[in-house]
This record gives sequence, structure tokens and C-alpha cells, in this order.
Amino acid sequence: MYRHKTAWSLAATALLIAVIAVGNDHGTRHRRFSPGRETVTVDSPEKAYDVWRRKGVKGRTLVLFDRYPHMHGRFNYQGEPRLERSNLVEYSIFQNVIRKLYFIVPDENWKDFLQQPTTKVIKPIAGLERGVSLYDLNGLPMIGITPSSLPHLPEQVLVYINSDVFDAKQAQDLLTRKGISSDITVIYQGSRQ
Amino acid sequence: MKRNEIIIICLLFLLAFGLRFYEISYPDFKWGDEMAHVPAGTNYWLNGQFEPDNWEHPPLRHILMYGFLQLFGDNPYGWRMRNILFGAAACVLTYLFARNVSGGRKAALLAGVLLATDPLHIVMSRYTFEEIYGGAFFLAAIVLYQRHAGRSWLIAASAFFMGCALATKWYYVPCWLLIYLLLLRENRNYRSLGTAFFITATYLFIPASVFIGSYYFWFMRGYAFPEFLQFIQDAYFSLQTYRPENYNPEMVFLSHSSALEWFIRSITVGQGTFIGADRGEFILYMNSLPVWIATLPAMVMLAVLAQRRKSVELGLPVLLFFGTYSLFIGVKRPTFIYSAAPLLPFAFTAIGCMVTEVTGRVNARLYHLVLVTMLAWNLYLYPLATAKNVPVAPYRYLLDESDAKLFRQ
Repeated sequence: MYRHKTAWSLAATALLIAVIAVGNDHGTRHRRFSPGRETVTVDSPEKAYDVWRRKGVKGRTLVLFDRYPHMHGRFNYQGEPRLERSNLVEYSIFQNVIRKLYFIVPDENWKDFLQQPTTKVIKPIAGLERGVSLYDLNGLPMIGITPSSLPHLPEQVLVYINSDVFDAKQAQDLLTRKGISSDITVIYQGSRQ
Repeated sequence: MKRNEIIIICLLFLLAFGLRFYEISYPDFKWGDEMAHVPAGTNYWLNGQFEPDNWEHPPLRHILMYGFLQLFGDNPYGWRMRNILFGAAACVLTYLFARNVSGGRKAALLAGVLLATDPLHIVMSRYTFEEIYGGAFFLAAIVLYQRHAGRSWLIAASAFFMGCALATKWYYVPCWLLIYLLLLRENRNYRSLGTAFFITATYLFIPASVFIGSYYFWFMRGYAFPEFLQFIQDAYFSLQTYRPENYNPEMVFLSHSSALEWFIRSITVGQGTFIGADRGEFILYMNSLPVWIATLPAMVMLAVLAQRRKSVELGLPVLLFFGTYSLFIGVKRPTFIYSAAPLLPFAFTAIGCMVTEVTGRVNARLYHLVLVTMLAWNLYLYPLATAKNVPVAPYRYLLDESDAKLFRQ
């Protein structure tokens, strides 16, 4: 009854495969890594963005050892968003430097974190004892997770450590234990310094 | 199609277009959801980001918005022409759908005219609501499905438009799968492996391709396909977490958050301003209850008729209506009156069939009386949906009963 149904079937199947392949390739090709590995210490958060910009990194996963990031949305700024002391993560999302975020919450603070009004849990992550999916306005996947539940991440990540909140040495040891490598680790030494 | 019918269709399009286009540049600033939808179009095209719109909804809307902004400019025409054109096209598609269901022009004309003049469909066609163009894609897919008669390219074209609907909003998933099953059932296609694969490949893979393809700019942010699957899953879960308290308390739709009341009681929300002692301007989202209330009885009647005549074609409006409506009733999240828009073509087709059937048995002239009465009622409500400066007195009882936010200048 249907004419050329084999040709149509093959064409539709090929179309789906092509769309998936093109999307996947388009995405992974837009990731930019820095050659080599380095650890940089900065005295203000916005300088971390300067480091990432200089190295040309894009489309990256950030492992964030810090307080809950400022996420108010692009259109709550007057005009184009500007990089400020408080909006490093959000600004980096706007610039597509970050595509995914692992937000590390100390194990002892986990229950408090889940009770916070800013914590909007979409769902627990299967297989992780203390890991939840959170999303910000841009649809950026943000995973709230404790050090003990942090899984191995196969791709190289960006790391940002606020040494007022986390001990930098302990954070780096954690990443080493989990087999997570980073091309750029930024340590913010703030008020303690 | 005969010449007379082509003329009817053209007139229907002109009526629908005229009612939607008239004074479209007023207000000349972004109003309501336009404040989110318009900049989100550009943000998605340039950055692959969804802000300030919701990230859970599929992004074909942003691509279309950007296209219309390029065509007409960043002005009221650029913001609104997409919905005006697709809204008017939906009226013609409703005519064609009802024509295929009923086999006659009378039911089709009534269905088309009811959609063309429905105050909710009009007000939503004058702004950036995605139910208008998503609904038009969905209807196009259904009409092509009805007319396929074994032609492979029409199945593929139907699948493409179904993909466009799915890439606009998730509403259409149940009926997408329903049409797929109907195609398999037709002539027992499921018994032939080759035909079953053809239907599966065209009706599942093509819409899936369009849906995934609409995320092209999102992939640009560095995402891989497994992350896409995770993203879609999370979007589904996130939508389930919506509760009335999550919305801006100023949102005009919040007073009615259940789909159960759409076709049985009057709903009027929106906003307006009284100007002086006796005039006002209003943009109201309302169900035209004297028309809408006939929906459920018409669905029952059509279901009985389809059962008696053993006609899937005749039962199609019932299947499509309840296939979509059950989603709105079943979901945990609030559902607002604007989500009723994609149901209207099926509701009005059922009403058209019922009116034609009943008046055909009682007195054929009654059809014209019903048509004129319903048309007159909808046109009476038209100024309330379109911010026309009107005397308040003829609408006083509607305004007093409404849940609209009304201000005094």
C-alpha cells in the first residue's frame, strides 16, 4: 500500500542518526580545554574568569568548592551582565565557559543544604547517596553533591576552590582520590589571606 | 476541492487573520509573556540559552521567534506576527480537519468560524503564546494524517509537523503516540514487518529528529547526546515540581489552576483598566462559556455516533480531545486556561458535528441560527480580548464575575 516504504524507512532512520551525530559532534567540538595543567591563586573571584578567558576554555564542567553561587538570571541585570565579585559562576555560564556544575557541599552540611530555600531539587541522582539535580534559569545542569558521593569524572574539569570555605589541599586530595583531573585549578584566597 | 470551498477557506482565513491582526501594534511595548519570549529568542539563537523563558520547554519557539524578529524587526509586528499567522492558519486547518471528520461543509464551517472568533484563541494569537503555533503544527500533522490514503510522503510530512509540535511543547506526546498506533492498526499494518517498520521509522524517528534538532543551539554550549537525554529527563521531572506558589503571585492565570473547570464553568482572567466613569480597556483570557459548554455533550454524542457507525475517522476528535485533555487533568502541576487552546479545534469540530446532526434531524434552518448566535456571542466578547476602548455597561456582569485584575486609571 505504501510506495517506496523501504526507502522512506531508511531515510527516516538515517535522519535520526544524523541528527544525533551532528548534535553530539556540534556539542563536543565546542568544548575548549587548556593545554597542560596549572594551579592559579587569585585574590578576587572575578580574576578566575580572566584566567579561563585567557586560556580560551569553553563548554566545560566546573567543580565548585564554594558557597552556593549567585544565580539571578541575565535579565535581572541592567543591560548586558557585567562580571562582578559575586557573579563569577553565573557570568561564566552566560559566556558559555561552563556547561555543567558540580557544587560540592561538605558532608556535615548536607541536610542543612537540602533545607535551604535556594536549594530547588529536581530529583536525587540514581546511585549517589548524597547527590541531587538542581537547575538554574539557563537550564544549566547543576549537581549538588558531597565529597564522599562525588563520582569519578572522565573528562578534564575546571576547579574553583574558595579557601575561605574549603581547605584547598583537602579539595585537591579529594579530586586526586576520585581520579578527577583538571587543566585549570583556581584557588581563591580571600579574606583569610 | 471545488472552487466554492476554496473561496470559503480563503474567507475564513481572512476573517481569522483580520480579527487577530487588527490594531496589533497596541500595546506598543512588550506585554505579559512577551517580556520573556522575545529576548529568549535572541538569547537562544546567539548563546544556546533559554533565559528568560523556562528551560524545561523545547526550544523551537525561540528559533521561530528569532526568525520573525529578523523578518519584521524588534517591534510589535516582529513579536506578534508569528502567532497571528499561525493562529489564522489553525482556523483553516480546523475547517479541513472537521471536513475530513464529518464529510460535510456545514460542520467544518461552524468549527472553523468558532475557532476564528473564539476570544481565547484570538487573544493568544495576538501575543506570543506557544499553544497557538504548536497547536497549528499539531493540526497540520493531523490533517495530513487524515488525508494520507496510503501516500508515504504525506505520512512523512505529517510526522514532520508532529515533530514541530513536539519541539514546541510536550502537550502533544499522547496524541503523537495515538496517531502512531492508529497508523499501525489501519489495515492491520502491524502484521507486515516492512510496513510496521516504515510507520515506526517515519512516525517516531522523524518527529524525534525534529525535536532533537531544535536543540542544535543548546548543543553548541558543549553538550553531548547522553547529556541531552539526561536534560530531557530532568526537564520532565522539573515540570512535575511546579506548584501554584512557584509562580509570580501577580500572574493573572493563578486564580484558576485546574483543567477540570474549563468546559463547565465561566473562567475570566487577565487584566484591564477602567477609563473614566463608563469606559475601559481589557485584555481578558476567557472561555466563551455558551459555546464551550457544548463541548462535553458533543463529545459524548460524537463518540456514540462513531461507535454506531464503527468509524475511527468520526471518533478522531474525541480521541484527540481526550488524549490531550487527560494529560492536563492528570498532571500534578497547575494547568491554566491558555493550555485549553490546543483542544479547541477538536471541541469545535465535535460541536460542529453535533449541531449539524441535530439540526439535520429537526430543522436544517436551525443550523444557521446556531451559527449566527455563536458567532454573535464571540464577536460581542471580541473587544474584551483585544484591548479595545469599550463602554463598560454591556460587559458589567462579566467584569463583576471575573477574576481579572482590574485597575482604575
